[in-house]
Amino acid sequence: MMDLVSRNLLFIASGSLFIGFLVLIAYRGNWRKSGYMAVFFMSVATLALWVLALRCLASGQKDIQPILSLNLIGASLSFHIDSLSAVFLLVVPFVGLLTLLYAVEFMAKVYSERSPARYYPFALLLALAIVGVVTISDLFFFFIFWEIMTLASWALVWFERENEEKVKAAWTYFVVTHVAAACILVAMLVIYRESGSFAFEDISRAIGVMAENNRTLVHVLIVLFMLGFATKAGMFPLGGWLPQAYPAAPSPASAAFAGSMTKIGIYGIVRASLEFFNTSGLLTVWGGVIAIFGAISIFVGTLTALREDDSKRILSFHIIGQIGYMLLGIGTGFYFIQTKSILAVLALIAGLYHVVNHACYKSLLFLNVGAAEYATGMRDLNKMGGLGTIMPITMGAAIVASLSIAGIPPFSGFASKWLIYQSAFQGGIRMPLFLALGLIAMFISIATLASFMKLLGAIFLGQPAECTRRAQGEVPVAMRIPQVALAAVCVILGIAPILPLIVLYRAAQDILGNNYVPVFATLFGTNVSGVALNFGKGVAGLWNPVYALIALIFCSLASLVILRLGGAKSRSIVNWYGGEEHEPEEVRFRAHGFCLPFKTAFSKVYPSIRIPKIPALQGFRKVLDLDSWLYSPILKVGARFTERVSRTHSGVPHVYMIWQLIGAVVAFAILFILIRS
Amino acid sequence: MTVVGGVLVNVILVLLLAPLFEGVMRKLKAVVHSRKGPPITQPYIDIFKLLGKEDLRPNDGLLFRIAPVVALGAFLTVAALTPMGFGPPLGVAGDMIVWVYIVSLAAVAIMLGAFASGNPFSYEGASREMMMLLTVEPIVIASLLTAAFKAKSLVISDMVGWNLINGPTVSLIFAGIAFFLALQANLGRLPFDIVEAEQEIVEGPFMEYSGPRLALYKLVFYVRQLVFSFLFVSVFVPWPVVGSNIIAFLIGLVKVLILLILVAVIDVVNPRLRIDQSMNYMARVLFVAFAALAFAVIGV
Repeated sequence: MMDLVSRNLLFIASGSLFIGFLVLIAYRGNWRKSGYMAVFFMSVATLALWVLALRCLASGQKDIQPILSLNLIGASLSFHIDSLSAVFLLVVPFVGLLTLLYAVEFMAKVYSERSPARYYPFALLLALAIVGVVTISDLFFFFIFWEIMTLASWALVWFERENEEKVKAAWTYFVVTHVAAACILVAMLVIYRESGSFAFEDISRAIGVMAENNRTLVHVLIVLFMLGFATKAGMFPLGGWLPQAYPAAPSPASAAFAGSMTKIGIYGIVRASLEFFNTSGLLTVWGGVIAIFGAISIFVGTLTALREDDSKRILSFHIIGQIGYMLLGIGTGFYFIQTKSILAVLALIAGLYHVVNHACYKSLLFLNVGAAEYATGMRDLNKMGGLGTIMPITMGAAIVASLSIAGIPPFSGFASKWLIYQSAFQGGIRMPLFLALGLIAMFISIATLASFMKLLGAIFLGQPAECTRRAQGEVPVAMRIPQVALAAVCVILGIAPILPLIVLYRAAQDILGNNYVPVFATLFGTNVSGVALNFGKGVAGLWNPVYALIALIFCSLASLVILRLGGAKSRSIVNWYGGEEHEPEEVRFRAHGFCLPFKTAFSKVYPSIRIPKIPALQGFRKVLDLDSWLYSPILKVGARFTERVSRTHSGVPHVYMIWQLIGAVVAFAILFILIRS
Repeated sequence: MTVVGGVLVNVILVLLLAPLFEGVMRKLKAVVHSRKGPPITQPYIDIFKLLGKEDLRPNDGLLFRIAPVVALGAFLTVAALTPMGFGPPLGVAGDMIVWVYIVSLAAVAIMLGAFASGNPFSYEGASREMMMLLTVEPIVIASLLTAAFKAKSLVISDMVGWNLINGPTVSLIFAGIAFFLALQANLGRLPFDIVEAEQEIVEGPFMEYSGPRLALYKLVFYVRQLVFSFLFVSVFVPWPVVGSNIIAFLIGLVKVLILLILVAVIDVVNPRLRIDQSMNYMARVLFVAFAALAFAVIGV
């Protein structure tokens, strides 16, 4: 069904983003003005996209008439918005808007001497590209938007191009993502040879034919697509670029990446697998592979994060770990997709639920860490401490986000992880491999907790460190609002899992087909306040956050009553350091020491990758680098000369007297010669 | 209504009985030491006395003040999720995974409270608490998962019911052994009282707590003892089958008493291990738990 309203909404959104991009790239104003302009364009787009997404969720899938047709190659710029797109259209602009709002104050202070045209236009372009990627139904233009997304994000990583280290990170990012894009391109061309068109449904049909004639080729295609998308998502071992690139970008950009771009890799995997390869019947084995790599990602990413002491690097490694959870859920779903069971649908929904949750709490964590950086200029956990007394709101948001990512009930991460554990457990009953993968997921959840306890303890709690004294109170309101909003979302998604599950259920219906997906109540039980899973033999898993929260609050109130029973008085004292007097700084417990024995037991789990240096480009860089061949040599000659001169000025009186003596002798000699002549 | 009543029964029973068991254990330790020892009611007296003592705070922040409250609240919730002769009264709220993670919520509260106190000893204690959690939690999860795997359900009452009816199996015996070997660490008892370690880091996370807040932490300690023991005896040693809930509860109490006496004996004859030694030990116990799971997978 062609839908005009949807088309107009999409036009408004993308138009607003594109105009914003053009305006901001031309505009040479100050940081705050450009920032608010970007926020304006983004909020228009967000509004339009939300209406679009909600319309789609309410009244089914929307097709949009091709805007541009390239008949010669059989590609057309046509859009198809189903509930899976709608999920991303709800999350991505929301996170994008909040990170932009946050960026207004953050960038104005931290990067005041640089040009705002380096940041805002590309942030808007990134949002535009992501909107394009998740709504398009043509592989050719999908690839174009994909490439725009990569380039826009690369421009953001490359933001601080004066810094050698960051240029290197951007370079790595550029090379790796383009190798990944090349994989997708090759797959695209191979398919095109068969289908003669880039439209999704033609491709799906062509692959259906291929699956009968040439199964090997279909397997190769799946691998190529997976390589391309999983690299973007940061799956181990393809995610080595991520902990370099994300910390290199400014904090609000890292937050936007974590909230939107990494998830697009997952979107790509889900979309390509279910749209193209579901009919081929070859997904089962690759589902298993994805789940295994997911579990390895969980293990390696999270344990490596435990070693890091730089706040943003910790978060980046945790992205690899958390992507693992999503892949575990989705892979389990793919593995059981042929059996047409409740399990397959449930696992898929679990993976997607984790995508949504992760988008919220990981962006929030980057914003928290950015706020700490804003206040203290510091990212090294060993040198920080006690920020919580000055910035209580940021600390509160950081605690919510940390407990969410660590999967502590009743916060959002727990609900989705719980669903992933359940599907892995039920998968394990049918195929023991998944039991092992689920066990890894559960163990590492605690390691995640360790990492974030370290982060909270080192940045916000304890005695104030030296850099904390630099902080001038809580961050500005424009930076507080995004944090509070995201924290609220983390809590809501945790205690009302039914809300996201309804949306994700629609998404599963749209991508798997209505016949495939059982009734909602069969999947999640009839009680709307919680989830009760039934796999045919009675309830096999239960999580009712509302009941649990009521019990928790009741029990805590009971404890409070016990606490007040004796009517004890309270008095403030200073810390007791075992009878000696110390400055807090002397006896600070450094973040590095947290869980040290465990870290040494698991040292070096993530192998680092090196991008080879390409000679031609190196030469070009050398020519541009005036320092190395023009300034430095001249400087060196000058320095050598002055050094010789300064050697005569030793500051010792005797030496000066000798100089004077020699000078006098020479002067007399000259005089003598002159008089003689 | 039955849910609310059941929760109340569990919470109140645990609150009332937990110090008593501690008293018995202390008396037993005194006997082994050839001392007279305090009366069995000493833990009650300690708690009442602490509740009236002055509350000294190095930090007036909310986190520092609320941490003991949340920790005890979490463990009382866990008590409501634990089967004690009858099914868990709060069973409608969550399954075994929820049980495990609400226990870690209590650990989180203890650690955040410790950080908030700002004392380096507390930081060290919290770091150790985290490491113990990292090494012990996998064993708890793997052994409980074995029971869940046999019952094909993660709901705790299903796990208990399956073992009760289908009798001891090789896998469940192994899982029970693994759980028991890790129990000492879960209860914070010697040789694994590394977190508190009075002689080296002066009670670690609880160092800066005094008065009523310390009383809450003491209650947390006692309640944890009872809750873990009840879970162990319900899931891994649920026999004999009895009709009445009250008789089942009383039998459960006897089993818990025997278990805690064992724990106390191990506690009194062992010196404290270093954290790395404890990690080595736990790695071996984890192997036992994996073996249990493997047995469950092959169907014995």
